[in-house]
Amino acid sequence: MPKQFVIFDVLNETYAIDSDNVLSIERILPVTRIPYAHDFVAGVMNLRGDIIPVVDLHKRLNVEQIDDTEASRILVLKYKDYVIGIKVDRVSNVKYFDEEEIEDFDKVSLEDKSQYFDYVIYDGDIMVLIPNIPKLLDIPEE
Amino acid sequence: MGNEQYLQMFVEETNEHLDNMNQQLLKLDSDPADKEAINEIFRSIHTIKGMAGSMQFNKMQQLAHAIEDVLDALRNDKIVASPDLLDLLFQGLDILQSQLSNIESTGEEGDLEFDELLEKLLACLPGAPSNTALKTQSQGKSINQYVDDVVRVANEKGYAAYKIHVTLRSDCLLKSARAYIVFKTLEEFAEIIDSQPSAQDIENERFDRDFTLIILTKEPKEYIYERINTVSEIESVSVEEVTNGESEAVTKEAPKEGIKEDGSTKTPTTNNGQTEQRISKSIRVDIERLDDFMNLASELIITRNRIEAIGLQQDNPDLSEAIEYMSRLTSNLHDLVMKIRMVPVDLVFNRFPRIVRDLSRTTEKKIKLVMSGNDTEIDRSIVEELGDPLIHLIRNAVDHGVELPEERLKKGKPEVGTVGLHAYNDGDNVVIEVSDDGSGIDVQKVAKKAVQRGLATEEQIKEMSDDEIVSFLFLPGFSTSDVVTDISGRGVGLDVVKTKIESLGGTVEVKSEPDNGTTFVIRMPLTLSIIQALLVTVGSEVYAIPLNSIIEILDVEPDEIKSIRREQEVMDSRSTLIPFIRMNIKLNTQSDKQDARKTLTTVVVRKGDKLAGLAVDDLIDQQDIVIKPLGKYLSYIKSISGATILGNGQIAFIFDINHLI
Repeated sequence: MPKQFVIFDVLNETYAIDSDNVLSIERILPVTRIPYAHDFVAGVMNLRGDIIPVVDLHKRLNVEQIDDTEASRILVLKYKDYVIGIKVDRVSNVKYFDEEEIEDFDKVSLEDKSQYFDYVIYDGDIMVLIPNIPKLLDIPEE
Repeated sequence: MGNEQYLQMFVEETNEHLDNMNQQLLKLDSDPADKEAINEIFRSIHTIKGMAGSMQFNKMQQLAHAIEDVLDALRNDKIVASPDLLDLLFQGLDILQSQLSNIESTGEEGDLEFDELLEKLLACLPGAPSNTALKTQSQGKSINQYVDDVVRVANEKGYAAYKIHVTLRSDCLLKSARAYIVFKTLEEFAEIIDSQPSAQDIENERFDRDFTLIILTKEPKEYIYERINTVSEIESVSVEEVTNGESEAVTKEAPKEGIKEDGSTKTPTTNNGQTEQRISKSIRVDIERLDDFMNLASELIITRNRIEAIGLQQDNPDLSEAIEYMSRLTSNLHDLVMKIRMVPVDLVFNRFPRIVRDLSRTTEKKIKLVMSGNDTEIDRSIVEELGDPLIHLIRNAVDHGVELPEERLKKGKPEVGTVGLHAYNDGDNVVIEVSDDGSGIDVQKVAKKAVQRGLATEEQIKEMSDDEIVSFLFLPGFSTSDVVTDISGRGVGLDVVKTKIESLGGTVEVKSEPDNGTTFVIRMPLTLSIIQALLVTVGSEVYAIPLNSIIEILDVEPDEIKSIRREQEVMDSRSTLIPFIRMNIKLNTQSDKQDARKTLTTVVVRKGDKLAGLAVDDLIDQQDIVIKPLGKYLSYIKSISGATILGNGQIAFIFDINHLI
């Protein structure tokens, strides 16, 4: 059965997250810094009256910071009881992939030092990385 | 009967009756001769049996029947309420309770086995056990003495008694209104002496489609039939004459005062205790709806704050006046929502007598539970969460606090120990105290344990007050009990209590005196969602300080600040030295405003007995703020208890003073 993914870019890399985990895609909203949070937490935003934490993927993926552009988006993710926004540079597509197209990431590359990624998809000649959400966002496993 | 529709009602009512039974059993426990309690229990269990029967929960019905038999024997003085018998009844109550919660969650009875208990219950009965074949209430064949008496007297006076069975059409919309018209019609020429279901249930639409009445009249059968048939939306009517000794289908207890000879047209209502009367004055509302209601009211307050902010810029007197009025209305609305959500703490307190009774039997300690302030009100969501921490503290009080009877006598104390549970209002807080008059906490033992576990050095301990040492008990895994018992002392405990209470925005303190006992003082906010707070700025950021933790606001000159060992700055507040905290550094903001050598605006806050001064950049305003949770992802940030959305849509964080200082 094909699975639906939201495809997005951070700097020069392309990533995909299962659309079941994506609640909404938002334009950039003001983000308020919160003291004592991990450094990759940009802060929190006021999303229609709810307070949602926002993770800065540039910091988390340890890549160069760039200013927000017209294309920047916040993807609001839901994982178990957690609702977390992630800031990305561009959301390019929402696409179905067959399960056979999804490969284990370690088969492809052993260079994933961060261990944030489980799977990879080759979409044409573009390599799309699929993160392990709890690892990427540092959500404690119960 | 469409079960789905009645399930919720069944669960709620059965719960009420089980609660009532619990209370009355406890009364009976303290006074085995309490006839009134026996009668109350009998009534409750009888109702439960009937309801369970009509819902076809046969196991519940079977057990309720056995308990009813025992109660009947008690009522007729055939057996006495020994502690062992009460144990059995309590066990029965527990099983009914667990069956009910199973029904509540799954819609079906659990497959709990209780044959043994049934046998034991039946063994308590004098002589052979009564037939266990079940009679359901709806088909109950028990002959009601009252109706018989009335019918006999009436017959002597030339009245005839009729049993009337009315079935409403299935598409009848206002069933109780129809039934009311039938009642009214009959009352023109007859006296209604009984109804099944009760008049009150009919009035509240607590019946399916049919009801049965017994009336007295001089009119012939045909006349009755025709009169009822004039009422619309009736499917069928049957009228039967009742001759003496044949009245049926009446199982509810009817009032004993008999029928009034003057033929007053008042419908006799069956006396089914006060609970029913209270219900008619109130309605049940799903808690989720109340939550939604409160959320809406909270959003309204946020919007009001926003409009207020806009209004200030407009300089329009008419607008200001309207905003002020709206302001008052929203505040009133919010107070009202809060009041609706308030419930008495008795909701949790009422299970403690039972727990203490059981504990005192297992520990062989003699304990009296003294409760007060059961009607103190607190937000429903807080009450629900308070149960576990309180049970824990009570278990501690019984297990660690109160001594064995011999020991108490040796110390010259009364043999019976007292565990106190007191609730009262204190400003915007509700205080709950759990106390015991036991041996108190052994400070030396705690200190020794703390040193052993490397939590403090001996030197540090020497500088600490007793209260500070005792608070080691709240650290994870800390237990001074030498013996681990079933009840408590496994070292998981007080830290859980503390965490739970603090997560609800409350605080817990402990006071102890050797040989005079221990008191835990829990302080809870009245409500969780809206608080009064002082808004302050630190750099470009806005923070909210809960008003109930603020002692005073001072302007502190730079030369009033001293530093101890170059680590901690202190200031003078009411002639004691308190920590002075520069919030720009504490919060790691980019503000340098406080570093300039000038007067610092300082908010003095309180954490339990401790004070601290927080230096901020500016004060903005005092406001009602709506607390929004930070969510699970940021729950590791303890110094911030939540966030609020300001009038301009900006987010401000709310300090949790307990963790901040």
